[in-house]
Amino acid sequence: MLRWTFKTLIAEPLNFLLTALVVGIALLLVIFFEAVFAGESENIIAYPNNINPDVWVMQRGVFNMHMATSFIWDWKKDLVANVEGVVKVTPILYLNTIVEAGNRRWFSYVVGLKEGDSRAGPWRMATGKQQPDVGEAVVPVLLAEMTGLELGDTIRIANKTFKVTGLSEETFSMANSITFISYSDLKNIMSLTGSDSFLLVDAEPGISPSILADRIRQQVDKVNALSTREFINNDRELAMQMGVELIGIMTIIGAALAIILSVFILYVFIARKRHDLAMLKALGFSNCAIYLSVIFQAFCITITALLIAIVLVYMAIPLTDTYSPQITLHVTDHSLLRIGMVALVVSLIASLIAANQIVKIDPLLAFQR
Amino acid sequence: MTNNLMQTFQIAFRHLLYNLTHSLFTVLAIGAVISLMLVLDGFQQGLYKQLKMSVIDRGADLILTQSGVSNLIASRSIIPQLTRLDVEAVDGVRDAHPLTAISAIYRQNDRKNPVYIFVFDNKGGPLSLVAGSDINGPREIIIDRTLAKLYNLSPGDSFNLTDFEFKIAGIADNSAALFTPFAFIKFDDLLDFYMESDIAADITTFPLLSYLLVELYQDADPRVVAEAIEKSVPEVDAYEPETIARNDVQLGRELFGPILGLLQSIGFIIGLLVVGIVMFTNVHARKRSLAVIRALGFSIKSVATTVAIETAILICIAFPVGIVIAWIIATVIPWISPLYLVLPTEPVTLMKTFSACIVLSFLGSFIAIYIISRIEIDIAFRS
Repeated sequence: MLRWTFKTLIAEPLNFLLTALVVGIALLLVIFFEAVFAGESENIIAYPNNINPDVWVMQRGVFNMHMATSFIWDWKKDLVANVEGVVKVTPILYLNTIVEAGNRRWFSYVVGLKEGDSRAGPWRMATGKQQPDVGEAVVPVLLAEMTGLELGDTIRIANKTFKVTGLSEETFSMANSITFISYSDLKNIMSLTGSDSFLLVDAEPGISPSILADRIRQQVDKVNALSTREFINNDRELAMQMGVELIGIMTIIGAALAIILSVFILYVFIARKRHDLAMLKALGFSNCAIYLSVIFQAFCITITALLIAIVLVYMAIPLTDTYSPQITLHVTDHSLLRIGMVALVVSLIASLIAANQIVKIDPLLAFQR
Repeated sequence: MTNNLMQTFQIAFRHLLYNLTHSLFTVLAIGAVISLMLVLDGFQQGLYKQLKMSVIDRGADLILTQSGVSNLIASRSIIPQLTRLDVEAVDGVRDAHPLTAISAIYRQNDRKNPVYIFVFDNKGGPLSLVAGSDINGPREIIIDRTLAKLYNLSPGDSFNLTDFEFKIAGIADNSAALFTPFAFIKFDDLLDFYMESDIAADITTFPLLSYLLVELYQDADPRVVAEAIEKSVPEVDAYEPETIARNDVQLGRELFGPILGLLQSIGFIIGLLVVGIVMFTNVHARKRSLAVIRALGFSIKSVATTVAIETAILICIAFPVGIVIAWIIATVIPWISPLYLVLPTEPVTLMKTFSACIVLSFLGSFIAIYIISRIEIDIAFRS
């Protein structure tokens, strides 16, 4: 019976492949959506990941950077510097806002860097100056390519214009690209006096970041201190959690579409093979065997569809890199596993609905002309 | 010519009725794809509408921002605190209400959510509440329905934001944008929050004012007053809310356009493939009868026209089916998560999707013509 099913499937390879392709693209929609969120989550943590101090110190109750606001009274950095095990404290100002160049606007983490201290600045440059002076800005090279910005052009943050003096690598994100300006410029934009946003703490070799963070929390009043790993995890989790429901909704929509299309294709197949199926029933094959045959067929379609979806999404990665560089796709094992489970559910539901049609086939049909 | 077309139309229609179950399944499959296209576009339209309404719902005649800032959502604007008095002195201005916007992260157990907090005085608060009441006491907060649903919160519950405890006074409806729910607090509580957090030497010098929501006298011309404000208070830019709303929507387009465009392309490809399969299976299943028709002297063109009209009819019937499915999905999504607004029946969405369907129908016809042209007439005479 299974052999007959398999032979029937491959007897019309174009039909089979077209069907698998449609279901595959419905599944691709889901993988793609999750890959975008995962890719963007990785981009969002690029800054803390690459700057990589041992400990981040921030306002009490704040525990991450993305979409957060943090202020620390500036004298607290001296207290942090005096904590045993601390080698260096680098204060930064941080503002999540909109940057403009010509008619284009984009969201940006604007990081204010202390003059003459490159510890918290861009880690890889495409071209230009790494450390911005007053009135200067370093922007992501990818953003410059997309907007046509070149060294010497100007960008605007609030009412201040900045000359682009450097283009940095690995600092682009759709939700928050990183723009570096000088500390004093950002202080003016934020109208701040006597406060920093975050303190980046480097520890003595051999000191555990978690222990140092604990020590800072205990010795400095009303601040939060986290090891970089914990800080990054918080940002990554936040970014992914923002997409969890959306990914869930898209999974349901994609799966429902895949089920409808699979049912439709199986229905068409059964309608066309009614005569053959009636013959099988007349020859004594049980309904159970025929059920299994349809389940097997649906399984073949969805597994092929899943493979097609995976191949397509991996093909889409270099394509989006070339044609939509602002989109970063990151396919995770978890995503593939989940979509595999969805594919199995799709094949089961689709085959059960289709098998219901087969039960109604009259074996006498085999003897009719 | 018209008679021929009518005849072809009748044949196509009869064939659809002849195998009604098959036709219904086909309509459902095409309808599902159409609904996908509608939902994806409706999602985009919902996103833009949320951005627009988050500005309009603040209820101002003019919105004043820090000079050089022309957005409300996700933008940081800082206005000197004494500006309010200068603005209220301008002719035509009845009142200038302070508004501050800050972003924060709400965390409960392992789950985290960004929250966009509007700090308001008399104007700029939530437009409608689904539960609870307005803020009447200290340390009270109004949160969006999304947060209430996600964390199972009700009026009277405590709401800890950055280690500062608020009490939920009310639950607001339709107050979210850019995947971020809003919350609303009063200025006194913002001061307390900053004082307790020990963040600056002198909190009175700390930037506390982001925007001014200006109410005008009834006979005042917003444009004239905006010019007068910008002239006498150079620290601010004055905008009509529609302008800022347009800027925010444009920002949303820049941010989400590429992704949503790509998703819509995938939806279109699925649609094309489904129509392709429908054409393929339709023609393939009737190969023999189509061969007979061709053997009787009908041209490829007339046979293909019949099949193409069948597809066009199917798509026309599937379109309202798709709208119904999309409408159901659009109703269910905010029920699952009120953060998202899906507007699949906006005229622009319907027009775009219908145009896509016409293109699908045309491309489907080409597939039919290709397959029919390859049918060998002699299969009509095989036993």
